Amino acid sequence: MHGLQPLELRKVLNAYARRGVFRSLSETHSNAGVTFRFQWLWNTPFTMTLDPKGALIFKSVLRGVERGSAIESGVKQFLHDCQSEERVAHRRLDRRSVGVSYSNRGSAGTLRFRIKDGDMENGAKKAVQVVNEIFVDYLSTHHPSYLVEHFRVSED
Amino acid sequence: MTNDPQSGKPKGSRRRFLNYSALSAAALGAAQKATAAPAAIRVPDSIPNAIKTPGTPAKFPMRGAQVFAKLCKEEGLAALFCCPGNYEVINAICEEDIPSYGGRTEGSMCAAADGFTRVTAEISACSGTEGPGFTNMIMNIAAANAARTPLLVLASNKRLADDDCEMGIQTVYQQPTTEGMRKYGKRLIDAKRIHEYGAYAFRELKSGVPGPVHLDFPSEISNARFKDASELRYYHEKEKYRSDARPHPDPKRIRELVDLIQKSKRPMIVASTGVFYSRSWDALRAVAEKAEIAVVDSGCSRGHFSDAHPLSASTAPGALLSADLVIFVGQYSMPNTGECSFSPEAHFVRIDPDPSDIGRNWPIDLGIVSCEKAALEALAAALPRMKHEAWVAELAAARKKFEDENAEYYKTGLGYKDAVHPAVIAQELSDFLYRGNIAKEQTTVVAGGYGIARYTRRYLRAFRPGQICNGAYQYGAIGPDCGYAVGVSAAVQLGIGPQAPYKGAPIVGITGDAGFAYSGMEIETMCKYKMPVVMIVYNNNAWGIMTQGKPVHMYLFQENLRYDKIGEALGAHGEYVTTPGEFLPALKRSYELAAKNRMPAVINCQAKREFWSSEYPPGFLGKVEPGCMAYSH
Repeated sequence: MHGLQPLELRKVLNAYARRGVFRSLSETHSNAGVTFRFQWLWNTPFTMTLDPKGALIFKSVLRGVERGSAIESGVKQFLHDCQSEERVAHRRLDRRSVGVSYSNRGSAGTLRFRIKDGDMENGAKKAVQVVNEIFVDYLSTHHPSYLVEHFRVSED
Repeated sequence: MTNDPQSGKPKGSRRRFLNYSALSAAALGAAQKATAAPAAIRVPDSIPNAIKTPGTPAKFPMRGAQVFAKLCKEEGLAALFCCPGNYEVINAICEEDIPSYGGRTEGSMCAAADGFTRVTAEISACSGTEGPGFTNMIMNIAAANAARTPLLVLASNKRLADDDCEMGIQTVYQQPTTEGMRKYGKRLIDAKRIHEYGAYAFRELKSGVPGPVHLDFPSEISNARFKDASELRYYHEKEKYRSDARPHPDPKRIRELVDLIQKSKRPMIVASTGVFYSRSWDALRAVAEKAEIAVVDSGCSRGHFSDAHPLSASTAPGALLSADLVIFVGQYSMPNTGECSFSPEAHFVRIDPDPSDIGRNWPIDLGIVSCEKAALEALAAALPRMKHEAWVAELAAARKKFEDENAEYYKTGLGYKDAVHPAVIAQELSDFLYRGNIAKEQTTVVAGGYGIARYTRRYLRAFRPGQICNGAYQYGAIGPDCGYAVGVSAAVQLGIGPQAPYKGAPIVGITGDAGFAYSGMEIETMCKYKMPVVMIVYNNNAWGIMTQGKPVHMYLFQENLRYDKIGEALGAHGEYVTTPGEFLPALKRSYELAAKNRMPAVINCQAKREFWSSEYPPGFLGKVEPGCMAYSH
């Protein structure tokens, strides 16, 4: 057992919901773990799962991303940069606390955050921040058409 | 039936008419060859003479239109942009010596008024005739509404007595048509109340969150005759029908905001439309400097906070996500989550004059109902001095990173030799305006277009209020750019509001080939009024939207179209630029002609549609809002 309780994660996500960052937060339990569903960026649905191994997973969060595509390599580079010492400390992903990996299955990118130091609050917040930055910074700047196609973002 | 003037025979048939026309054209052509070149385009003396002639302000006895025009004068209506129609009203406004301009389409004149107001913060009006003239304005009324422009929309209407009859032509119910795209509207139906409804209009234009106000004038109203004031209802001075008082912030809420700022390591103000219209740029700077708060511009015009200021985040998109406290001030067109590049950890505050809008779209931690200026002044007084050195350094680093990225795009763009890449236009225009012989604060720019704007907005800078009019804004109309340029140029020529120090200077407008089609005829208006406008047309032979689909014929134009020749044909200077090296010399020539001879210019920049594809990096650029790249909010 990983020792990370859903209760701690629920507290963090509820705090986002109370502040209006997430809307319509709900949770379901299954063998795959505890899955939280919420409306977030561009009022689209997102899910975050705490799996039995204690990882926070944004499953298929990057739908419609081909393996080996420019978007995929850009996301990987972005994740690498998040951990760089050159990045300002308050936006850095400290490898000692939180690890992140990307995988692609069926042309859908999944982000998996592993909390190494047992600090669920910090880990969950970092995971949310990284996903936020991927969308509102990296993809908005470099792949606007992807957001139009897959997230119904206005094509202005 | 008329007779042919040559033969004296009746011209009763189409065939006969065509034969006559062909013969006449041939005869004319032969005559021209035999004699002189066609007469040059010229501005007839009657135009400058009429402009120079002072108006005759009305006195009782007056007609309804004159009563209304006098009220507009008293209220400081700064300009009128119109096409023929609504004659009583526009003539009366002109007679009151309110600067008046006549253009080629009502839609573009509506955009001109919008552009004028967006860079001056002063109210202007547009006018068109009932029916077609009025409906021609619709797109640009909607654009002004999205931009929250205090725009006075005027139109004539048929006689009240003819309501519902379809007698003659041009029957339309105007008010239902503008519902949803205006702040206030009224069809005037009682002549005695014309002054009263003028007061309604200016109360709406000058209070709260602004927006277009639409009045339509049936002829009984504009033509009504009044012997003296006793025949009018509520005929009194403006001090009696409206107040300049503004809502002030609750001191408790200001203390709460000070507390949030004191807890914040990286505070940021989003200074938007309301900052501009409340003319609170000095108060904004005082707040920012007192507590080292970053400021990022947003809205349909830019420059309320100088891009050159060390606390500016308008050209530091990489720093937006670092802000831990975001204070939206006068952000009328509110983004939704995802549309601004802010952290989910940040706390959010809104300062807005309309309590019913606070909390819409973007969740807040604190709302302050107030006039923006009053709130910023109260905040400046309440804030202790604070330092945020690391934050200031982060802003500087983010600005540098952005500039480095732009320099890289330029380098890439220069590599394309067979057409003009948008990065070349953007960088070289920026160098010319801000790093050459022209004072960097001088030139007001209409930053329009669609794809081209994704580049130019990254490189254009605003150093003082009203220096950039963001053409397409939340409504996304790309067509009005030449119309906006007419209004912006009028504002600079007159030296209104923040344009005063740069009175008479040339302006620059940017549009696309698709956009040019909507309002390009206004080049003629610029020529007629000798407006020094350098209009840059990004010509990629296609609608910008073609990036979203296959390049099929619906999205494509003929290639290598000569918008410069259209400019020349309308009296402007034309330049056709087909390689990167030709752009800067063309810009210099055009600017010089504009500055010395007050001659507008059209610089047709031949690009290619493939520049928006990934095979031609950097391709079609995305954007981050708020800040210099902002397109929507």
